[in-house]
Amino acid sequence: MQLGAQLRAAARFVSPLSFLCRRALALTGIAARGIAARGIATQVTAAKLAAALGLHIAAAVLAAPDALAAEPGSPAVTAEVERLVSRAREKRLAERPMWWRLLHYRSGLFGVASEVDAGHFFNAPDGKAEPEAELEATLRGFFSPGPSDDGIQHPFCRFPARLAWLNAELGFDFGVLPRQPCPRFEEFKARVDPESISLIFSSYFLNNPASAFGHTLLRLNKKRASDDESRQALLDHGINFGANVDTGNAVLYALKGLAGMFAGEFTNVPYYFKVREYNDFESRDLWEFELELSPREVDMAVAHIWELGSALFAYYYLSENCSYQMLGILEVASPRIDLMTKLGWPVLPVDTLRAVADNRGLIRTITYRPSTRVQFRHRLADLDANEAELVFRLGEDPDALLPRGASVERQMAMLDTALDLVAFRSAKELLDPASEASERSQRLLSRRARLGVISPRLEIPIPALENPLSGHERARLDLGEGYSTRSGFFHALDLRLALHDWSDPSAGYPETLSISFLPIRLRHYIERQRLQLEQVSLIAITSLVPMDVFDQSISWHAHVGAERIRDDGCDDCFAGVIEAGGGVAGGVLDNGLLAYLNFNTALVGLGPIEGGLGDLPLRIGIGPRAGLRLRPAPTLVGTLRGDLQYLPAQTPTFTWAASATLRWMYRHDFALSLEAQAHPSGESLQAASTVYF
Amino acid sequence: MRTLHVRWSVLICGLLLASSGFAQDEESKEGETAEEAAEPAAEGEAAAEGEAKVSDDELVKGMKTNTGRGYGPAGCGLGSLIFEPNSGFTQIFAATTNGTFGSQTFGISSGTSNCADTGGGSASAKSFVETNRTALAKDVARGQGETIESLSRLGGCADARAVGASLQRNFDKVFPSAAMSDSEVGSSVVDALRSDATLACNSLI
Repeated sequence: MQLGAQLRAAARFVSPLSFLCRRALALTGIAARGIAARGIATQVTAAKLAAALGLHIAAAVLAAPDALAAEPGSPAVTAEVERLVSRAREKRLAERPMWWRLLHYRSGLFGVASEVDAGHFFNAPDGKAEPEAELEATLRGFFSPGPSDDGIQHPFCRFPARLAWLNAELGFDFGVLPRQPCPRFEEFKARVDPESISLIFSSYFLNNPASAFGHTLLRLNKKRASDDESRQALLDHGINFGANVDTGNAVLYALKGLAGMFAGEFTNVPYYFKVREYNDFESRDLWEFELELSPREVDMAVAHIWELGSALFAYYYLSENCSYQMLGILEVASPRIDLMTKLGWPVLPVDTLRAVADNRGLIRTITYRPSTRVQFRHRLADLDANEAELVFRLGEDPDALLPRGASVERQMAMLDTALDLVAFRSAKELLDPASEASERSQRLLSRRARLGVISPRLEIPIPALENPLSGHERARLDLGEGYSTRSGFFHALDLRLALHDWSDPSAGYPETLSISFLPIRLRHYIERQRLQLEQVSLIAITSLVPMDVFDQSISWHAHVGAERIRDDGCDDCFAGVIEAGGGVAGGVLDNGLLAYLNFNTALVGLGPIEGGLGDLPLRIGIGPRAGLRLRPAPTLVGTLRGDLQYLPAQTPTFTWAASATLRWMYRHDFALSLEAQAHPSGESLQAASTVYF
Repeated sequence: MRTLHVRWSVLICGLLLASSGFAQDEESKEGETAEEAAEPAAEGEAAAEGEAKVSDDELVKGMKTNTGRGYGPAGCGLGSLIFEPNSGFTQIFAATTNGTFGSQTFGISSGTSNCADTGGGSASAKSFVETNRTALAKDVARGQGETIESLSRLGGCADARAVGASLQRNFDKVFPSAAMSDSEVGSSVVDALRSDATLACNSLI
């Protein structure tokens, strides 16, 4: 990977946490070996005593030599293991890509380091940084007496993927070498029982920063007893990687998440938990990508998942996050799959999806699982205006009267729609059986059940334009020319690292969502021979929820960055900006036309500001922000935005800004852009060629 | 330049102080963090021993019911499993559900917990109903749905459609009230399936 990964590797090396980990592992490693050696001596003595008693002479004489030969730690076993170790050295297995994939080794600024930070993942005390030492310790560990603590698995059982691969490479002779029974791993395999694996993508969710860029997990799809049995996806097992968040403080949450200070681990959750969590509780769609993997590859993935259960990772929100870890599992499943090399920085869930899609034929089928909110909208579309009005009433009063002449089918349609309305609108309250929403829902459910008819299945066609794979790439580069009334002609360069703003074509992304991560805008004024930084931001988010009778959620925006101010108070000066606000939004024509009106608060500081608050170089402004977006076609988008700010007790008292954009994506990931800006001190117009990469 | 650095530092410190002022109940969480940070090796060990060591009294870290009580292995209802943030500032960021649903219950190596059993039979059917209670109630009211099909599979029932029709007919008996706990609803549904012999739910006997 790139600089980001190397810096992290460096940080991990010198971090005190990593040091503590290594010390702890060293101590437990040494301790385990010592205790085990004493245990074996006791067993051999007991065997000799039994033979001497005479009652079991025959059995002992017959069994003893074989038992001794296959005994971990016996001379025959040790010799065989050392033979394997030297053959592994000859074949240089520790340098093989598959060994690196199994151990999650990465090459960095300070050398090699595994991404695993803690847990019982390594057999060698320096296993985290020494692939060869780890491989040899693993081989020896497989056929050693093992840890004395019953709670810790024997390496033979703890690392089934490593076992399978090393066996395939070296050929273990189980006539000489002992096998260990692995009941816990067998039980896990029986429980998940997969015939295929799916990669699940949960759509963007701005109410939770961990989900702002979406989320991915793996699903182990169960074998069916017979071919005509239908798939029961709810009963499949999901493998999820997440951070153990231990703080409620938002700033700490952000800092810890970015700096890798949360411990991340894998969990195994029945898929129905995820469906309830995403579809119902958070109203997020789920996209399910079933992967083309052979039975052996599926087995290898399951074996590696078991190994990862013994690992703790530092969770880095921007790189080693949920979606990244899923790829690690798939890469172990098969050497033919190439995923990590396709990733840049930051690693977003959609990037990992694309990496999978880039492996031709790896995606077998795509399934769409809409959220309750989408199901509601779909049902609503089948009702006429009067019926929609009645659904609204039913949502408030479950006993609302339905028209006397309404057929059973129409009553059923209205009640079914109302059920979905209550479900998505009151998702949180419904978790509490004692809540008022639960009571209302109960009455509505009972009324629907009493109707006695069985609803037809709700069929929702896959919205191809919402498939996350169909979207533009997440980084955007604009190169162009422009003219400003103040400073003349200029060259322009705009670069945004991720992800999508509402001036971009909307396929693959929610239309009402805007996330800009690390955008930077540069201009080079030709006449003045000056290169100027126009804007650089950490993050700019706008989340719109078009309001209607059924949904009155607030739209909001937030922005942290620095930009050039262009009015009397701070003409052409560069200052830091923090702004946030909320308001209402509306959309018509299937969100082809979106508009919002937000109240905005802006704090401007840390620049050569004149006329600020008191004598400080600080400006506080409040006022409305309005925006309009027109999308005549998925590839053609126009936007308009205006800000008006009142600056109490400051100069100037009022300031304003306006901008308009037009973008036409004439070819996937290539576009032409036009942008106009207006400020108190002048206007500018810019035309650029845009590429997404 | 220097004053600029000073200003930035003051701003950042101010933000940190202000935001820690918003957080409540931090002490217990901070204590856990310090402990966790100091013993990452022990943490991995605990996860491996999970099956043997989790007692009825042990609470899943960070998981709280919306009544503020801790979640123990006794219930699988979603209400008791969703992490409830109690800091005002984090109410803006909804429940961190992307994260682990509690690694002691759902750890890879920690064995079958009550709530992760999808193997079939009464216990797994009951857990399923507890977690899927609201979605199942909706499907039953409609007489069909994915949760009914999955429930039918867990119960070993002959025909999911018959199960749906039967439960819909008996909706008021099976789901008598909203205030009934998830666990009681689980028992109620399983009993209803068991008592209707025409459904032939062989795994529930």
